[in-house]
Amino acid sequence: MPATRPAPFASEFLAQLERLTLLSRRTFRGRVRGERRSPRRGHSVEFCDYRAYGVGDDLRYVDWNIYGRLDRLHVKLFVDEEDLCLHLLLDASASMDFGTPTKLEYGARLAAALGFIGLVSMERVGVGVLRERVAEGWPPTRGRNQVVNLFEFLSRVNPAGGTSLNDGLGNYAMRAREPGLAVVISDLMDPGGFETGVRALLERRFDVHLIHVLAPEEMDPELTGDLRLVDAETGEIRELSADGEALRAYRERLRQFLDRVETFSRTQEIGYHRVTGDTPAEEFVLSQIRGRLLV
Amino acid sequence: MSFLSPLAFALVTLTLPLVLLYFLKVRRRERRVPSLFLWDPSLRDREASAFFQRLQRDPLLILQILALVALSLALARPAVTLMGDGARKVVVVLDTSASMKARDVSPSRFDVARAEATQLVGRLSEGAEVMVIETGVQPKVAAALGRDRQLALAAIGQAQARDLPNRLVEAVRAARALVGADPRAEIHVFTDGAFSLSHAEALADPRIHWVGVGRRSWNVGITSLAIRRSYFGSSDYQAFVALVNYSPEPQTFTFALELDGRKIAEKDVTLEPSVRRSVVLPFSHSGGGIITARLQIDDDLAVDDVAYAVLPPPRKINVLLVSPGNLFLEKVLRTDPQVSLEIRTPDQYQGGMAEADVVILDSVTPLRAGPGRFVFVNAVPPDVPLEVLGRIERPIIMDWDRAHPIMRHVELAKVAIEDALRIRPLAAGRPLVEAVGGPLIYALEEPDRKGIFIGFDLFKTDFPLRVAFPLILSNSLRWLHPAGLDQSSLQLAAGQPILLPVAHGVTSVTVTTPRGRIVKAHVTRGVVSFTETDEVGVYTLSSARGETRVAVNLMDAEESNLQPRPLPVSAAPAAAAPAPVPIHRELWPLFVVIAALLLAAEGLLYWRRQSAGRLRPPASPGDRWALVLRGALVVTLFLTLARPALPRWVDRMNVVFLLDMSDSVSLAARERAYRFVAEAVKSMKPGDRQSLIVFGDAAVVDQQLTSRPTLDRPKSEVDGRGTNIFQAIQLALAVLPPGHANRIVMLTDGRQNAGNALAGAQAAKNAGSDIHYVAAPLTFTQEVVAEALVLPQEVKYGEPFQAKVVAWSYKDTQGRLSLFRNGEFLGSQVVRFSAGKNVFSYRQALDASGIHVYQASIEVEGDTIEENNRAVGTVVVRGRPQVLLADRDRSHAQSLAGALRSQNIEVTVVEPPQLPTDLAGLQKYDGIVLSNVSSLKLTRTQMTHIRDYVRDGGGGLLMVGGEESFGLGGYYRTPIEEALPVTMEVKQKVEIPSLAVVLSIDRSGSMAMATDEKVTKLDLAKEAAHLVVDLLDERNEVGVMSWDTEFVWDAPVRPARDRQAIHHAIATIKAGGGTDGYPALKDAYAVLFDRPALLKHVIFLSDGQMTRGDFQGLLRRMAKDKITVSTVAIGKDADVQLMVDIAKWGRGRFYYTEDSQTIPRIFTLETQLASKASLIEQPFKPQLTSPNHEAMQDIDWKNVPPLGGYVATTLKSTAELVLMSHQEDPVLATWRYGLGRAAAFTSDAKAKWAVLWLRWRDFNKFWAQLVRWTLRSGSRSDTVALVERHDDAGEIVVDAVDTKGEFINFLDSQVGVVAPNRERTVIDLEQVGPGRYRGRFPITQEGVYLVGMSQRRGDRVIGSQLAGLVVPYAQELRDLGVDEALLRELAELTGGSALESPRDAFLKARRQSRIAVEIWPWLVGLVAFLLIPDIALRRLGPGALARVVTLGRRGGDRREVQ
Repeated sequence: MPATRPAPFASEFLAQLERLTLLSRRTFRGRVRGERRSPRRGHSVEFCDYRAYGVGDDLRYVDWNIYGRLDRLHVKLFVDEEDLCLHLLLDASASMDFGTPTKLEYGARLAAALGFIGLVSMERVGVGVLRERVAEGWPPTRGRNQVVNLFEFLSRVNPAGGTSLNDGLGNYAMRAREPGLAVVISDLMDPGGFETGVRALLERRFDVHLIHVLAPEEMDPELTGDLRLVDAETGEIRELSADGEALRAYRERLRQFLDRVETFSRTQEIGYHRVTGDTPAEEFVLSQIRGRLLV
Repeated sequence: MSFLSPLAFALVTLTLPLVLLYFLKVRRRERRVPSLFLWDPSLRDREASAFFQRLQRDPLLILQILALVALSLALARPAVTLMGDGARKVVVVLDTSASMKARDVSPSRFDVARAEATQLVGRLSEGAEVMVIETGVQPKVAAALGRDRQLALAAIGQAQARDLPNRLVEAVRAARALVGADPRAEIHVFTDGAFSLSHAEALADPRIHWVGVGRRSWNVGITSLAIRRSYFGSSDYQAFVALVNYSPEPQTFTFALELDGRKIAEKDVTLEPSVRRSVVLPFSHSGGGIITARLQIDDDLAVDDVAYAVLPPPRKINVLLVSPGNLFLEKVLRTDPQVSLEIRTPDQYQGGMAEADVVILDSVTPLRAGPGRFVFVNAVPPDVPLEVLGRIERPIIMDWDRAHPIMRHVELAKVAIEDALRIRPLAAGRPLVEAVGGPLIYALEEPDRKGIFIGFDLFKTDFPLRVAFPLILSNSLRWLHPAGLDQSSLQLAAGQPILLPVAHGVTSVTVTTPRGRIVKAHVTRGVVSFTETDEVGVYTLSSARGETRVAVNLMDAEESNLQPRPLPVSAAPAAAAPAPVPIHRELWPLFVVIAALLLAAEGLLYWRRQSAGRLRPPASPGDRWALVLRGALVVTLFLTLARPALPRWVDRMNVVFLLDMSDSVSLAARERAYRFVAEAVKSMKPGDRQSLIVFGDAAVVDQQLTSRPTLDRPKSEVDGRGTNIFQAIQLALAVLPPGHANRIVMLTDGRQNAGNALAGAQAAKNAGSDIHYVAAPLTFTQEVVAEALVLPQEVKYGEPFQAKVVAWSYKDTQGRLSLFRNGEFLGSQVVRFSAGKNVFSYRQALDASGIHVYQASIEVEGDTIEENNRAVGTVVVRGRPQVLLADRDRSHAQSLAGALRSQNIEVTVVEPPQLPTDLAGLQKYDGIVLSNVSSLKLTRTQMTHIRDYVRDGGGGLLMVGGEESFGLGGYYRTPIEEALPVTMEVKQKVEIPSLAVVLSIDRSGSMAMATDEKVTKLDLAKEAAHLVVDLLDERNEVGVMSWDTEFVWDAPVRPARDRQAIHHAIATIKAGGGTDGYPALKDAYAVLFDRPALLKHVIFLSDGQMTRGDFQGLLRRMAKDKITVSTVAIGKDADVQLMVDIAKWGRGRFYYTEDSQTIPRIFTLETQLASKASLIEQPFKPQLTSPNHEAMQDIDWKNVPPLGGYVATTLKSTAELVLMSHQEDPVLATWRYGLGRAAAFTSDAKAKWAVLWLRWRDFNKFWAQLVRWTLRSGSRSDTVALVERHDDAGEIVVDAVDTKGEFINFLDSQVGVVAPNRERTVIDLEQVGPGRYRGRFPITQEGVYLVGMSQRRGDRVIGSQLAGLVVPYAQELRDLGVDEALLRELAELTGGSALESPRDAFLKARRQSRIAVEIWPWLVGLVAFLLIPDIALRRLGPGALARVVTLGRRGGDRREVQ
């Protein structure tokens, strides 16, 4: 298994990424001032509302024009701008180790691209590597200077072990200190399902996006002949004659699976993006999720 | 349905391993997948379920098992018996002759014919039998009779038109013979009809259906190209080309003649429709070359637009003559310009060939001759396989082989031989000249030695004096060594085999065909043979001794004429549909197809399954291999439908027995032959096949090729009136499948009388069959056969000749022989026959011109065959011979003329002045008789003409004596003396008195005048003096004096012994001055007076007026002293009166001549007269010294009356002395001179010396026979005709060459033929070469065909001939006995031999057959067996396949599954 090392992005691509920012459908309470609206009123230049002056309010924000007209003290409220926490949850189970490039590589590239955008727009970016449990992670960090470290981290993620997306995601949701934008990059191939995990995130008011990475051969398997199929994660063996009938059955199940994922995403208002490994990561980032996840 | 090989069902057991394979776990590829949850767990059921359930569910296994069953079924060869409708038996005869290449129908006639034939065969229903025959050089069975229509179609498809003339008749004949009398048979002949349907009865068979192709005739062709050298060794040639336009419109084209690619003539020719144009083009060339005649025209047939001829390069034959000295041989060999001769004496020769091409051994017997090319004359070296049995005294030549190349144009009727070696040949060869008792000349043909044996001493025969001798010798040399093969033998018609003699030592020859194919040719017994001349062009034969080129041309007017001729109307279809016959139809191809389809379908299904419907190359290598293998299996199965076959050698032989059923083989012998064959077939080995063909005049297949080891009695009827071995062999070759070990066993007496068995043997050799024979024993033990009636070809009117009846008898017996002439009984006689050949001679003479038919018949008690007791012969009698009789006095000639006329000789009597002065005037006579004609009455030119007439024209000359004949006629040293068998010199006997003669010659100025021949009179007088000096012998004296006004003794009188001095003296005489003869004569008197000679004579010559002296007185005195004086006056100026007087007074003779040319004759005559040496006037009885002389037969010499005198002469050394005088001088001498004959009778035929003879009973006969003997032997004409029989046609060849040796072209030749039934037909001869004309007439009856020929040019008749061609009654029964030599030759040529025991027919020298074995069962079986690895590959993968399935392995796999 080759070391998963995302190919360095071309500088043009990075330049394009720099112009993008993450789009969150919700506002989050940030920890430091950032460039993102905060649910809190703050000190930005953007006017938001008035409220009656209370004792202790900064007199600088009193609207003297109103006081002159109404003779009441009102304080101008401005929109506060805070930073956003981007959680990149990358599935690194053995099942991700398929396709060319492998789904994991592809996912890592996407994570890198998103992480880059986050870091340059002064957000905090954290990475969670989903295995059976979240074994490792990149604690939310901010600062442009962290880009290299992020890339470095992502390149070291290797596929191994089984997955339990529910456990992994649940765990992460519980442990995350502040909710934010959660992007789950996974093939979602967990016989146990992933819904519980995602719901756990939602409960912690994460804005959840699912990037469903699939290998082309999973969409349309090339398998023919008499085969002994070995499950990459569980090691389970199934003997199978991959004839047309079997393939039809496979495609049927795949369709049901995708339907299930899509239906779930729709009802839970989760951003769902499906991508196959043959779509270049750049294209996916620049065009397919732009407007939905990125601006 | 039945199964031909039910054992194949065992193959079904293969399903067991097949099913077993399904019990085994499928070898699967391991494949990691991201997650199994997308794969329906239910799919796992298939795998996990019980085996039997699996088996039930897998359709592939069912298909595989079905395929296996289908394969087993196919291998079991199921067959159904159907009722085939009609069961037609169709023979397709494809005309492959050159005209089929015509492009008037697109693409060519042959392609159209082929398409039609294909259609015909395609339309045939199941069960029909088809055979395909191609006409070729020989009819060739391309597909044997059988139900396999594919085979027939393939044969039709492979057939090609060739450049051959049409042999359709033979092919149809073969087809009919092969189908026998089967009424179901149909013979479909596909032809363009460009041939003549001459054999109506053979082609009238209602079973023959004619299919014509061809639309029009648009063709110009070369129908003849012949090159002839104007005479031997010359470099002047004439090319004769005949062009014919067979188009309906005039055609214009360019005709070119090329020599080695260089144009030597070119001309534009316009030919009207149906016009034949002959062109003669002279050219000169030395050395060899290729002549090409070419037409530049685009017509429908290209093959005949070009013709080739070969000019052989000049080569010399090195001949080594080993002889103790033989003038005849040396002379003949030296005159042959192609011979370079070396002569050795016997002790210089040790045997072998040395450097020579041909060795001639004349009476020389070396210890060993060794291999090589020899002519043996009167000797047999010990290693030559001729057994000397003794000698034959005075052998009578019975017959000679006129067909052999050595004997061409040779006539031996009158050759006499004193004795000869009696030999018996022990090796193959041919007797060329046969006498009673054995062959006289024999051509020996051993594998490494060829020889001509001449069995008699050339000094004990008149053979070397005959024209035949140089001919035979020169032909022999060319037969032995082919140095300069003549042009005509290097030009062949397409299809004719190349048969050329090769030089000694050549054992291998390669032939390069016009298209450049290189083929090895056979060399057998010094002859190279190559038969595949089916391509027009130049063939090159290369051997170690050089190259020979042979031109092959179409040149067949029948082929060039593309006009489709009406074909016989095809008979109506058979009245009743033939009864259906059961036919076996094999169904295996059906099952093979089913199996192939099943396998293909199964493979496809599996593939689909394995590639999940995408039909991409399967992922697993096992599957990939399985797919390839399956593809190969299916292809193999489909291939088997094409019925592939492999050649294989098997111990199998096909033997065709040829049973001779001709009349010459008695019933007992036939029975014996049948028993032999019946016994022979018992020893057949499995796989051997036999067939029986019976033949006589034609051959019929009696029993088809079968493997049944029994024989039925032959049922077929054949015409026994002929033996055609060639056709029998041809038919046998048609029956025998090509490529097998084939054998022909002939049971025959070998006496063929139609066809050429050797050609058949050659064909057999080419086809790879050997010929063995069993000689049919002779069982006619009482038989007497009249073999031949030998007559001279032509006799003169009234000339006696011998009719020889040659009879053969089995044993000593006696019988009655009767002779008939023109149907009229001549007489009969009881004769004794001894065992073997007998000859009875009857003397005949005919006095009616025309052709006469003689018939001899023999009656013998106990003789069983009637037909062979008759023999027929013809003789042509020329019209009455014309003789020119010249006599000094017409009245003196009456007795001789009367004698000749009484014997049917036409005599024209003339006096010397009326003798013709030109050669043409002489040519109309057959002979000239000069009776007492003085040479002084003839000019020198006349005498030269007479000599040439005898020497070159073949005329006869007889000089009859008298006082003015021979020496006394002044013939000394004249052309006529050259022609006569005697010279005029006389050996003087003692009693003849001595003579002193003085020549007194006028040398005045007028004598110096030139005569017409630019010699002066004086020169002639001097020449006369020389002659006189030569004439006198040494006891006589001669003196020469010349005078003008004075006289000089140029040669004083002295004995003639001192000739040189006298000659010298004579030569110095010079002319000049006046004329005064008196003093000279006077001094001559004075000188002679003193001489001692008994006779003294003066010849006094003058041409002018002379001073008169007292001649009278002088001459009186001289006369008193017995000195005689003769005078010769030359020219009108001479003083004739004086000269007459001088002669009168001088008791001499006076001669007056205006022709100074006669002077020498006058002088010699005078001298002879004066010497009185020549004239002997004493009665004597002539003595016969040559009793065998032809002219002297039947004359009663015992009672011959005496003669009264004769003129003495001297016999020439090569002349024959017939009658001799009492003084041993010749009275009658004869000889051959050039082409003619001459005789000298020195006495006379009138009342002077022959008074008593006139009353002699045999007087007329003697003279008539003598004159006849001298007469020209052939009718003198510029044309020579030859009528020969070629099987069933008579061929007439006329050669026209004028006296200067130039060919006579464009003659109008007409020939009338009267058949035995008196039916008269007129045929035209066609010119085929420079000066050569040819025509043919069909021979349909037995008897005598009378052929009258005449050649005209404008109104002038150039020549005419009459000939009779005897077609003997029942030729078959004439030749009894066995021709073992022929049989042995046939056998040896093909590598066979005589069969001793019936078992040998199959067992002797067995060879292996190369047969084609159908391999489809093997292929089908292979496919069935390969099906298992095929499935195993799928199920176990290639690796596992190597570790072949075992039960233990199976157990292991099972555990793995669990």
